[in-house]
Amino acid sequence: MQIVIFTLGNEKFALDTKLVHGIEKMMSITKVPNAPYYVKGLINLRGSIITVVDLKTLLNKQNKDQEENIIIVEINQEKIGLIVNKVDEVIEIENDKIEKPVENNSYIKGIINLKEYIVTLLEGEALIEG
Amino acid sequence: MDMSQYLDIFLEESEENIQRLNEGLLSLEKNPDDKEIINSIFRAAHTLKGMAASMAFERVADLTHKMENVLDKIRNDQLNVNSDIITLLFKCVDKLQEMIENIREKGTEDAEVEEIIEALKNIEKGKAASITEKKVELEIEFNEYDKDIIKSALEKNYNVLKINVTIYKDSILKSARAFLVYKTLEELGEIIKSVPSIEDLEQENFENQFYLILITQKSEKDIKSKIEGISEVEKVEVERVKIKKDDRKEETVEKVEENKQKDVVNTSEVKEEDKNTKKVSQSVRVDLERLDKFMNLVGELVIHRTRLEQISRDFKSQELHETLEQVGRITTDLQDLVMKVRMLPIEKVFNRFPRMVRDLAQELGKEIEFVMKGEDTELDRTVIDEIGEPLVHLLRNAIDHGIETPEERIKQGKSSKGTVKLVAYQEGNKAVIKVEDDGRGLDVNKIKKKANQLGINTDGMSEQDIRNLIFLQGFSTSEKVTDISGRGVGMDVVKTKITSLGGSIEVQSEVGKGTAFIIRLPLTLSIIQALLVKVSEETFAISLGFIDRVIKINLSEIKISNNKEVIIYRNNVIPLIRLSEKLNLMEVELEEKFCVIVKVGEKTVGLLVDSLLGQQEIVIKPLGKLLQKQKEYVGATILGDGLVTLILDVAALV
Repeated sequence: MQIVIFTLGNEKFALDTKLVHGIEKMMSITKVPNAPYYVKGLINLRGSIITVVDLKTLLNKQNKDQEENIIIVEINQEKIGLIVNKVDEVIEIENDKIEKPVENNSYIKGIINLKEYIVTLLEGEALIEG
Repeated sequence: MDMSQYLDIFLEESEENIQRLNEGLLSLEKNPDDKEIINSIFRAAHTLKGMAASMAFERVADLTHKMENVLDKIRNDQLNVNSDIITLLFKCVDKLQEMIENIREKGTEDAEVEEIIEALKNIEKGKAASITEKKVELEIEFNEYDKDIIKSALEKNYNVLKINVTIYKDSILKSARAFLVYKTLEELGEIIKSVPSIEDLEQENFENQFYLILITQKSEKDIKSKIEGISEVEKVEVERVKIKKDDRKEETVEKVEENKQKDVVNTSEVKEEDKNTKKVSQSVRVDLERLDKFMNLVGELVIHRTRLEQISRDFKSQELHETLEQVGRITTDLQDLVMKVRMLPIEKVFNRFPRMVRDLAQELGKEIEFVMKGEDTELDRTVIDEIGEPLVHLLRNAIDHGIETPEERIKQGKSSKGTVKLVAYQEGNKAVIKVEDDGRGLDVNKIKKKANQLGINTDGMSEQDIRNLIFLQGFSTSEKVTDISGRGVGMDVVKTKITSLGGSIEVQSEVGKGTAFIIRLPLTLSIIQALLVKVSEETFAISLGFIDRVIKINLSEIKISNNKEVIIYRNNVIPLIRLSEKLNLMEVELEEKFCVIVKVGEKTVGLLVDSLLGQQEIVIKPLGKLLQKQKEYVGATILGDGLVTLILDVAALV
């Protein structure tokens, strides 16, 4: 499968490219008062209004680095933006390289051990269930 | 031939005709002698028959055909309308409805019609058989053109004569004789119609009898004597064709017994009396999805226009500005147009209610006068599709719980007949629908008792607040559960539905006098005029539809009453809501702020905002799944500068 690898804090994560609709530069986000804690706000993506999720808050990670990208994913016919520090690369991996996650977390689909670093593969559907 | 593409049209038109049948029968029940009503019922049945036959739905065609026979008997005074017949005809309509539903769902008619057809046959035969013999008249049909000619001839004081000629049966030169008659008459005036046609006469395609319609200045006598001079003519009958309003006899003479054509002509149509039932409007049926797409595209256009306007302001180019103004006008027109295209008269929802009310009233043994007003009020298609169900609930409640039994009403000094009113009208940019009854009204004490049972504390609540409790889930004060209503799933469902349509509902009631439910709905759903306000750092849009007025206030004017902040405006105490507080935003320290006074139902509330940014047309876009629970917003919009702005749901905030 093809995956998009991105940085969040000091960790690397990945998503199946099938879910990824596009990668955007950081843009102005409209806050939604009283929204769930992990919802950062709304963006105008070429005329469509899209909810943006603060991925680090959702995954409970510390992160003070600059957030450069929004990954637009499309799950169950709805587009959602995920804020990440930086999108690194898109690579092809063998399915058997995906190992079972150590911790039992519905957001995590598996762990991929690349030579340089370890990547956590995220479960798309779980992200939008909140 | 593949008929599937016509199926939708067939179904839709069938529903319309069934509706017409229902309406017709309801009024026939009230005015059994009105020929006009029978004619319109007849036409609806006839159209339905024609369509069903062409779609090869034989049972529908068969049943409507039998209905037509009975109707025809009524029309020709061979059968008197009584409640048995009406009930049977209603049953037929129900059966037709059932078959149409089956066609919609399963593609086949699939219904037992034999019994009902048998009943129709019995009615048709039983009472009418003795009178039906001597009706072997030939048929004369006038088309629009003929009618025009007849009308203008009559206006110019010409005689329009119908000449019935019978030639000896054993004549061997029938066509020659007919030709002679024709020739003779042609010299005396103008023949505008011949039955059978002139070709048929020439080819001897007729028995021994034919009709001619002649426009002439000669009298009936002259004509008669001239034709009687032709040999082998057995009999000549001459009568005047009258096309006058009250000449009912003439009407039946010209009427077609078994009409094979769609356009049944009778004198009433020459009179052009019933324009409303025969409204020929040029229209195209459009798939709703395409309209939605159209609407969305226009929405996009509005967004980008606003954006362009913003850019043009920055560039300060006169030329660009002028062009944009043009574009602006056109988009506004386009928007109006697409909105109007989506609008439908609420009649589409209302028209099934008279029948429902009648049936319910009968079932419950109540006497009810049902009044509908403002059926032509137009609403967005989406609203029209959704509003039916809540209205059914409200009407059922009114009939079941509201209106008392006749005996009870008389005891209370009311007339035995209860009145249920369904009224629609437009008010500003909202449509208002009222469901009123003059029944027993809401009993506040009963509601209180029920509330206490459910663990709701009613102390300190006003009577109006208590009445509003009926909109809570699981709240039904009716002691007995009937089939019609009273299962406690009524009013909260109604409220939820109406709120989801962006509307509001309120109740007014007085014990012993009656209850009124007032529903307010937005006329359109997706493009609205809004006021943009600033609270703390954020911008929000508030629909102008809710706004009564905006006032500037000094913070010192805010008073405390009953532990709540209020302002006094024109001697009215208005509760104040600080939006910053509601939305958990930083309070900005300012001397002067703005108070947006909004009206939701009969509630008036002031919303405190920091500043105003102006008024703008905005396109409402729904929020995504993750924000679905945020009741504070109806959606979001994109402003001219490209930024996303939330639209506040005033109804949920106050």
